[in-house]
Amino acid sequence: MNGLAAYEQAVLATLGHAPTGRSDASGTLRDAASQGHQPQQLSGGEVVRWGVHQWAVLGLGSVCPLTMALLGHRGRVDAEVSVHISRGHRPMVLHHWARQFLAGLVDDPDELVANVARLEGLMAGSRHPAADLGGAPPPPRRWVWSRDPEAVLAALLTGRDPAGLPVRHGGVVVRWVDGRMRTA
Amino acid sequence: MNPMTLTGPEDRTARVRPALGLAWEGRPRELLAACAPVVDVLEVVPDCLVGPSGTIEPGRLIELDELAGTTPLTYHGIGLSLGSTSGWNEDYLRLLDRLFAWREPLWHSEHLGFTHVGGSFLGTMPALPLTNEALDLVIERASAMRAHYGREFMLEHVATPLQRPAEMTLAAFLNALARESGSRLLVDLHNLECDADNGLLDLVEFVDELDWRLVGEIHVAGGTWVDGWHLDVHRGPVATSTLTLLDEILPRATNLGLVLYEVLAAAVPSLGVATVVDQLSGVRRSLEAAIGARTLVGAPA
Repeated sequence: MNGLAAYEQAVLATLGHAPTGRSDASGTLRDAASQGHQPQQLSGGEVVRWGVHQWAVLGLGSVCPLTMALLGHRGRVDAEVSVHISRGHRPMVLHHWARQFLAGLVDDPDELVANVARLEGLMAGSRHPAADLGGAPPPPRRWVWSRDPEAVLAALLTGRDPAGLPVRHGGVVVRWVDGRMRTA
Repeated sequence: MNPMTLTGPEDRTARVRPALGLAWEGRPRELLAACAPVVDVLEVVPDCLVGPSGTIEPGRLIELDELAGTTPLTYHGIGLSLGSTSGWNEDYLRLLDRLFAWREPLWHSEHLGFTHVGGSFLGTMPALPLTNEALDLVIERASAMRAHYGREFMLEHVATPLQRPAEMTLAAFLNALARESGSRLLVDLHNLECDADNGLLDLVEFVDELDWRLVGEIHVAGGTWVDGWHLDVHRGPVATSTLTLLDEILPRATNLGLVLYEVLAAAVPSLGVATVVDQLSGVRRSLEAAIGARTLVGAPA
């Protein structure tokens, strides 16, 4: 391994991120990458990756607690956080990174997850609309929930899985107006 | 280096040398209320005062003015990414600018590591390799930080289990850094123990080789163990081994200005505010016992 730039690339590889391809990376590593070889993994990487993951779960849980609670009921927290970490291009500001996380879930096949993530993203966006969403399109201002949204949120806030709530015939139209959710 | 030039106009640190401090991550409020009257210095972590807008939350500063308006401050950053080859993180400098405009610190500090590669936050802070290239880089940047902000800029060795290249010992790296950058060092005793326990440092050799007269600040903290790794996660009380090391170091660190207890804000609810206050009392006892007659209240340095 030659130089600081090469060490940075080795750290990226160890953390499971894609190489940045910076022009001053060492020839050894760049050549290896061009030949399809991964930069070397550093010892100690496993526990560091675990730490990055734990901090990510803690941080995302503090910014988007409803979505994380729902993912918890689905047993998907670790998988979704891992996917988000592996996307790279992570901003330093946790709230911005969390909004990108939510944006990545608004088209989730699980309708409850998609709706809750969309709502939490709108809540964060109404407070700080300029936050960088990493190029994701803004969520729609009107959409349909199959269950009573307020009951869903109440369930999540009290630690219950909203999947058991009754499905409303025709769904419930939710609008986002002036920074508030309206169902009428 | 003259430590007397490093103190601010409201020099509460003159009461006791070295001063006792607590790291402040912006919450919980009850911790600040309980500890501000107990400590001599609060060490504010700028990154932890950032809100959803990506800037310092004004409420955090109002709270500090309300509860610790006369307590001298230092700033201890996380996100500068001093060692990134593509340059440091300018966003962190904007946080620092905001804080300096609000209240001037006694000094400020950062880490000998990097948090960003190619503009992306890593979610962790790898330590810099102990190489001449890294040393030259951080000397240049540390000197620039000191010149720009007009305050001493201390750097702290990072504990990480990640393997890193080395052309010199950690102590040799730190000695050269302090001598050539013109700022004292920040040494975290728990970090040293982590590296030693993880097979990355000979602690006895380090203690013998480091020029402790170059140290301006010492951190103590509790950590955690995971799968045989000793990790620098500040969620508990200071271990007896760390306090023993502190007692051993204090007589050697003759230019020491501050000894500080670090605890994660997220750990305070489970740890308890009273426990944090008790930890501070324990560190205070170590300071008073070690420094003895030369740290009389109000005595000149």
